[in-house]
Amino acid sequence: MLIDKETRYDRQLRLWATTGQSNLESSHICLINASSTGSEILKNLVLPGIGEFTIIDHRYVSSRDLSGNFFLKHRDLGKGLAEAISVNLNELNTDVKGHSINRNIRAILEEESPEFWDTYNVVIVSEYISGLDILKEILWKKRIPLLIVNTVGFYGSLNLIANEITVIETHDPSRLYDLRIDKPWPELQQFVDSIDLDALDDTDHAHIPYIVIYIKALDSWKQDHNNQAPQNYNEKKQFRKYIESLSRNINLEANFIEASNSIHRALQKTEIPNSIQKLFEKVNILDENLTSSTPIFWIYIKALKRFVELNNYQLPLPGKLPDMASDTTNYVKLQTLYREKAKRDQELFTAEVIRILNALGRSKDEISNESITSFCKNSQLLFVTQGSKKLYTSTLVQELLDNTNESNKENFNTLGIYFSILTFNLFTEKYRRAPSLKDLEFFKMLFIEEFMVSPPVPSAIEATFKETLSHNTRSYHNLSSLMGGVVSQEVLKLATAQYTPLDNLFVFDGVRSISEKWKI
Amino acid sequence: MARNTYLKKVLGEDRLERLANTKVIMIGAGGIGCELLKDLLLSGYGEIHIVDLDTVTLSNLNRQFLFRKKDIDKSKSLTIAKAVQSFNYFNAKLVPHHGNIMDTTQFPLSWWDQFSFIYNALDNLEARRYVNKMALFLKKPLMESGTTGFEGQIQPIYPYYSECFDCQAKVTPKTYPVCTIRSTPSLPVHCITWAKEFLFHQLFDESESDLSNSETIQNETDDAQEIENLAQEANELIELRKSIKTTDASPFIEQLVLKIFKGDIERLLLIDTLWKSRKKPTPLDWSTYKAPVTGMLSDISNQSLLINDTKVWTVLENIYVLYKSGSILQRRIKSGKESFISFDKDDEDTLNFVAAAANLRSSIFNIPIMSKFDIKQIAGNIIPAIATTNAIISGFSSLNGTRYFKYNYDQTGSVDFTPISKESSTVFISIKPNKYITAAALVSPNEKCPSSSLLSRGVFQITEEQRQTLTLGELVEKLVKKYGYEEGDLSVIVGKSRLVYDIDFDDNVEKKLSEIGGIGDGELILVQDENDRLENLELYVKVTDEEREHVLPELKLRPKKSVGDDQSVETEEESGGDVEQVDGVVNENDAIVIIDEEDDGLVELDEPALKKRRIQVQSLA
Repeated sequence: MLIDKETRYDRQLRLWATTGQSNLESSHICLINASSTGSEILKNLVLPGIGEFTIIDHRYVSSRDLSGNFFLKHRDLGKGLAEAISVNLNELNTDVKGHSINRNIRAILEEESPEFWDTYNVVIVSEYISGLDILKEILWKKRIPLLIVNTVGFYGSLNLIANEITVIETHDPSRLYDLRIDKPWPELQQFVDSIDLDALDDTDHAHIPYIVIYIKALDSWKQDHNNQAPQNYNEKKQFRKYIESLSRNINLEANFIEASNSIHRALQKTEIPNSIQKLFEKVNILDENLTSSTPIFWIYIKALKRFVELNNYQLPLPGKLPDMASDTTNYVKLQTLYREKAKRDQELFTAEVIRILNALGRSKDEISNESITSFCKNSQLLFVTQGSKKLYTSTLVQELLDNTNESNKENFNTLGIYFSILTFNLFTEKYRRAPSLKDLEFFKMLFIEEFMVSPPVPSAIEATFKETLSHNTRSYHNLSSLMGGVVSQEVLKLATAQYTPLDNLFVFDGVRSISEKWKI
Repeated sequence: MARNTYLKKVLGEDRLERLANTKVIMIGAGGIGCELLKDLLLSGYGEIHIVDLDTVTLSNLNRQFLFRKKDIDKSKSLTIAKAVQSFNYFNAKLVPHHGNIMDTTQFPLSWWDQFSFIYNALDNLEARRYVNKMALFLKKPLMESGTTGFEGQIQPIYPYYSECFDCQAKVTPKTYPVCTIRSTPSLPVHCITWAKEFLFHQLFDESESDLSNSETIQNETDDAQEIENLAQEANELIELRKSIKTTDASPFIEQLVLKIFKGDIERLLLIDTLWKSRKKPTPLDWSTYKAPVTGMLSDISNQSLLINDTKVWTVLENIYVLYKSGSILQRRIKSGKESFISFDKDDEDTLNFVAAAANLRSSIFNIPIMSKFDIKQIAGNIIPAIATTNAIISGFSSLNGTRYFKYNYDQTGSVDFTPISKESSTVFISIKPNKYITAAALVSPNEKCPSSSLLSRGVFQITEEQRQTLTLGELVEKLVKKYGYEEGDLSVIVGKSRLVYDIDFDDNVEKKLSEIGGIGDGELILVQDENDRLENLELYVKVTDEEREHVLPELKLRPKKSVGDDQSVETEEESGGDVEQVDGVVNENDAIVIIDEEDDGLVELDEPALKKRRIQVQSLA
C-alpha cells in the first residue's frame, strides 16, 4: 500500500487490516434512490475507500431537496439528482469511482436483463421504490445481499436480505486463546515432561512459563480427582490455591502470580463449540450435495468436519500465544511448538480441502494460503446465517399482536414501528402519495387487510400509527444521518467480509433512543 | 415549499422557532465534530460556535468528511465553518474559534454564558473534565460523546439533576514506575515508553524528561546504586545531546548506540539486586553489527524498510533504521530551523527513531519486537476511528440534545432539569452482536462525586478596582458572614493547591486580592471548612466592569459528606463489575489501548454473584 494511503486509512486499518481494506476496495455498491439517508450511507462508505458506487435515481434536483440532503449545492438545481450527488460525494475521496444512472428503477427492472445487477456486491434501497419484489427476486437468485432502509419521522428500519452470509473473521470479542492445556499433544507433553520444577534454581523456577505449570498441575490434580479437571467454583478455587502452592514465593515469582491471575486459561475445555457442531450437520455438506458451484466456505466446512474426525475431535490449533512471564528460551520453544502444530494442522486441513476439490473436479487454485490460514485461525468462531426474502411472516405478526395484548404499561412496542413503516409503504404504493394523519382510517384498514389481523387495531399499534402519520416525512435529516450510520456499518461488514452482520431486521425508535432486532 | 417544512413536521413549530433563536457551542471539530455540525445545522439551530485548537492531518480524512487534502495543516474550526456553508440551508450563523477551550483569556466564564446548550465532541479527558466543570458552574446542559472503533456513547448531563462527567470513574492512561521503564522493562510498552518519553525526549525535546526526575526515582527505590546509575545515564545523554551539533552523523549515532544499548546495559548488570529474580539483559554485541550496518547504509534500496510499517524488523534492520532516522533528526537540529523536536506520531523521523530504539531495547531485555505499525498505535495513543460510528453517535448527540428544546428553559430561566432528565438517556453502541444500541435512563449524581456532590460552586463577581482594594482578611470575613463557617475556621486555596489563608496562617490577611496572585479573572478559589462541617466551596473569579458591590454567590452550603459514608460504598458496588460503561467513555486520544487483545475482559472462573449496575437498561436490542 502506498504510504499516503496507509496514513489516510491508518485509523481503520487498525480495525480490519489490509485484507479487509482490499476487500472493501474491490466492492461495488449500488444505491437506489438518492435520498438523504442514501447520501449519508454513501458518504460513510466513500470516506473509508469503497471501490465503486453507483446511484440510481431518475429525479432532478429541486429546491425542496436543498434542506435535508447536505450533498446538494445551489449550483446543482435542475441537474440529475443521482449525478449531482455522485459528483459531490466523489470529492471526498478521489480513489473511489462514482457512477450515476439517471433512470427510473421500474424501467430498469422491466427493460434490463437480470445480468444488469451482476456488477454489484451489495444493493441498497433507500425508502420506498416501486417494484421492490421483482428486485428482491433477482438479487436473491444472484446471491447479492440487499439492504432496505426506511425512515419516517423519528422511526427507522433496516432489512438485510441475503440467502446466506458466512463470515470467517468475526472478531468475536468472546474469543479465547486456544492453549490445549487439558489436551496437550505429544510434543507439548514431552516438552512439559522434560522440565523438572524441583530441580531448577530459583531464577529459572521463576521463569517457567505458566503453560508448563498448568499442564503439570492439571495432571496431578486429575490423578487425585478421578481423572477429572476442576468442575465447580469451589474446586476451581482450590485448584488456584494448588497452583500458588507450587510457587517457592507467590509474592515474588512473576510467572506463578500470572498463572494464578490467568487461571481461567488452565480450565478452558478443548471442545468443538455448538455453533460449529451444527455446521457439520448441515445437509449442504453431504457428499451428494456438493457440486462444482458449492461456495468455498462450505468446502472448508466439509474439510473441517473430516479434519476433526481424524484429529480426536479437535479443531485446528490457531497457534497464537499470549505474552507471559518467561525466559526467552522457553518462550521461544513454546512458540515454536504451538506454531509447528498449527502448521501441521493447517497442512492436514489443506490436504482435506484439496481432496474434496479434486473429487468435484475443481481446481485447487480456488484456495489460497491466506484464506486457509485465516479459516484455521478462526474455525471456532465462524458465523453462518440463512436469511429470508420475506419482509414479514405470520409469526412476526403474531409476536406483534402478543406484545400489544399483554398488560403493556407503556402501551407501546417497537415491532409496531416496523409494521407501521410497512403499511406506510403499502399506502404509498396504492395511493401514490405519503399518508398523513387524516388517512388514519384507511391506514388501519390497509394494515388489517395486508397482515390478516382481526379488527380492531390494538390501541398500542394505533398510537404508533398516529405518531408515524403525524411525522410523515422521510427527510428528517437527523434520523437519516443516524440510520445512514447504521446501514453503512452493515455494508462495511459485508464488504470487508469481517464482523458479524445484522441478522436480519433492525428497528429504530428515535423518540426513545432504543432499537431492537428480529430474525425473519 | 419552505425549506423547513420537513423539520416543522417533526419538531413542531414552537421548537423550531426556539432552535432558530438559540446559540449553542460545539467543542471539538474532529471525527464527531464534522458529523455533529452537519446534524446541528440541518436541525435548524440559529447560531453555532465551534472551538478547536487543532489543524487537519491526512489521517483525519478517512472520516472527517468536511476536510479535503488541500485543507491539511489548516485550522479545523475555521475550515469546518467554511465547509458547511454550501449546505447552510437555514442560514445559521457560524462562529469559529481557533483556540484551546481551557484558555480563560479567550473563553472567560462570561463568554460561556451566552450558550443555551454545550455539545462536546472532544478527544481527551482533560478538556472533557474542564467543560464539565464549566457546565456545573453555569448550570448549562451538556451533551458528552465519544467513540473508539465500533464502540461509542453519548451522555446528556443536566447539572445536579443527572450524573456529571466525573460521577463515574474513567479509565486513565496507565502509568508505569520509572524504575520499570528505566531499569527493568518486561513488556514492549515499557520499552516504547522508554524510547519515546526518556531517550527521545532527553535527546531532542525542549525540556528534561519526567523520567529523569530524581524525586520520583527516590520515592520508588532505596537502592543507592540504582539511583546513582539512573542519574549517570541521564547526565550522559545530556552530554550526548550537546554533541548533536558538533559531531558528524556516523560518530554521533555510533556513540549513542554504544552508550544506550551496550554501556548502560553493562552498568545495569552490575547492580546485582535487580537481577535476583529477573532474567538478565544481554548488551548489544556491536562488533557483529558494525560492518553489516555500514553495508546496509551504502545501499539506497534499503530505504524502503523505513516505509514498511507492518514488517517486524530484525535487530540489524532496527539498527539501520535508528541510524537513518537519528541522522535525519540530527540534520534537522543542525540546520538551525528547529531548536528542538517533539515526538509526533505523524512525524515519520521521530516515529522511526522511537520504533527502532524501542525494539533494540526489547531485544536486549528478551521482550518481543513489534512492527512500526503496532508501535505507532501504542506510542501515539492511537485509537481506531471510522465514519460510521461517528455518524451514529453524532446522530444520537444531536437527536437527544434537540429534545431539550421541547421545553422552554431559556425563556423561563429555570434550571430545574427534572422533566428533561427523566426522558433523556445515555446511549451506548457496540459491535457485539447482541448489544448494538443500548439506552439507559439517566441517574442522579453519584453521592461521592467530587464534582457534582461533594462541593458547591458559584461565581464571585468583582470589579478590577475592588480587586485592588479589598484585602484577603476582608474577603474571609465576608465568607464567614455569608456561609456561616464556625469560628471563622476556614482555609482558602488558590491555583492547584496553594494555601493563602487558614486560621494559623494569616500572613496574607492585609494584602489586597490583586497582590496575592491566583485571584484574577477566570481563576478558581477553593474554600474549605476546617471543622469539616460544611462542604467545600469553589468560586470562579469573574472580574467585571459592572459598577456594583462584589457579589458572592447565593448558596446554602450543605453539610459535608465524607467519602467513607455508607451510601457511597453502595454506589461503588453498583457501579462495579460492568466494563461496558467504562468502555463507552473512550475517546480518540486518551488511553493506551491495545486492540485485539484476545481474552480481555474475561470473567474469571464462574463466580456465582455478578455485580450489576443500578441503571435500568431499557432495551438490549
